[in-house]
Amino acid sequence: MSESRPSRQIREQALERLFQTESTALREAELALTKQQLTSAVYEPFRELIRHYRRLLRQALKVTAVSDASQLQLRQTSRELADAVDRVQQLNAQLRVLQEEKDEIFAMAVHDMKSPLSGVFGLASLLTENTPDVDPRQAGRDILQLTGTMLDMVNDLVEVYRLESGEVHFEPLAVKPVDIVSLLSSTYLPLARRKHIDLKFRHESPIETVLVDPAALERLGGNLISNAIKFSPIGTSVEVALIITPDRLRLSVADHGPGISAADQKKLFVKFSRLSARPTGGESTSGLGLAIVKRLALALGGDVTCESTLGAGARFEINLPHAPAPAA
Amino acid sequence: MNPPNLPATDTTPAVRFDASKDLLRFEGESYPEDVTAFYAPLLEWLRAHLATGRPLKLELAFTYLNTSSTKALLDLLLVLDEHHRRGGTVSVEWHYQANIEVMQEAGEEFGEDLALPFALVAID
Repeated sequence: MSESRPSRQIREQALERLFQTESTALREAELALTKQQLTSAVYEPFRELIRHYRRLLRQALKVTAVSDASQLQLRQTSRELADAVDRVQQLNAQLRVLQEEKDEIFAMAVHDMKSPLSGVFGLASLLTENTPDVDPRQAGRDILQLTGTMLDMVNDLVEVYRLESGEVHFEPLAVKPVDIVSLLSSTYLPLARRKHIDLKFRHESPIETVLVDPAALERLGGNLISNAIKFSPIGTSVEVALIITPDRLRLSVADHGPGISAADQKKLFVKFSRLSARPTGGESTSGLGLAIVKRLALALGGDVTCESTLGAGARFEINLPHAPAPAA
Repeated sequence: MNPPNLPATDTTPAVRFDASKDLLRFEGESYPEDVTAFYAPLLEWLRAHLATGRPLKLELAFTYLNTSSTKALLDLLLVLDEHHRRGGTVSVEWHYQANIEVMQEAGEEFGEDLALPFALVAID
């Protein structure tokens, strides 16, 4: 990691220049001494003095060279250390934010689970105590619905964290657009009928098959369709369109519900966002569905957008890249 | 010769001369690869300035000095001290960050053998 240092020769020359005054004084003293006719009693001590001075000068040069080199190394190490400390502090700050987000989500999840769990607890208590006027079959159905809600919430939580941690792998398969549409319609038509919602599908595709991960696409479309049904007033319609172009796949879901305010649109895809709109048929909501849609769409290299005017319905569109399936 | 006006680099201090105050100020770290190449032109300018008979105030605000720079700086201070002994008006202030004890000690060492006015100034 050391910075490029000048060659040894260059460093030595630089040092010699640094001690040039002292070297010159030494040379002049040597020269003067040889020119004098001195008695050995005077000559010898001066010769000895010059010898020691020369050695001292050489040592000063070496000491300076060695300490410069170690100081340079120390400086670099201290800079690297300061950089490392900076990085650790940044990581710490990121971790703190993540930890706070996790704490918040944990608190929300616990809060949301508490109500159905209390319901199950109450119903189970009634059943075990043989309380009169309790229809065991109805209690069972209620327990099923409540535990289903909790299970959905747990599954959504697992899904959103799996997507965030990047542990998801997709398996693109050659799929016919018509098959995607029929799968979605067979799954969601019964749900729509229960609320007297007219769920309409259409698709356009210039190609026979597309290469996409069908499970991911079903998850994306299913989330948007069930949301549209959940928030639509009874007796309205929901339109689903699957449009394939040579390189993009667009799946849109439009409803005629209460619409989404501009403020709500900003936090639409955030985990556990509490928005103004409420389900119109008493359905449960984990607050995670659209967060999952957003992360899944991004993971597939696409995105999801929402257009809505308050009071005039909402239209969500998933836009994904796709590769045309190779001819069979 | 232009008065010094050098920005600081990774290995050399900022050096600026304020003519209105006859003030030469060094600020930052000093561990250049070739210390003579950096300090010799400054010393040359300093001698020329002193020769004009103008006073000089030197402010040294180093945060780090390597051994070569220490030697070069001692040489520079000797030139100023010599000028002072001959009746010239020079003074030196050694500015050090109060939390860097070693730089305070370095200032004390530098000032010890000098006859010119030499002050230690702690900066918070």
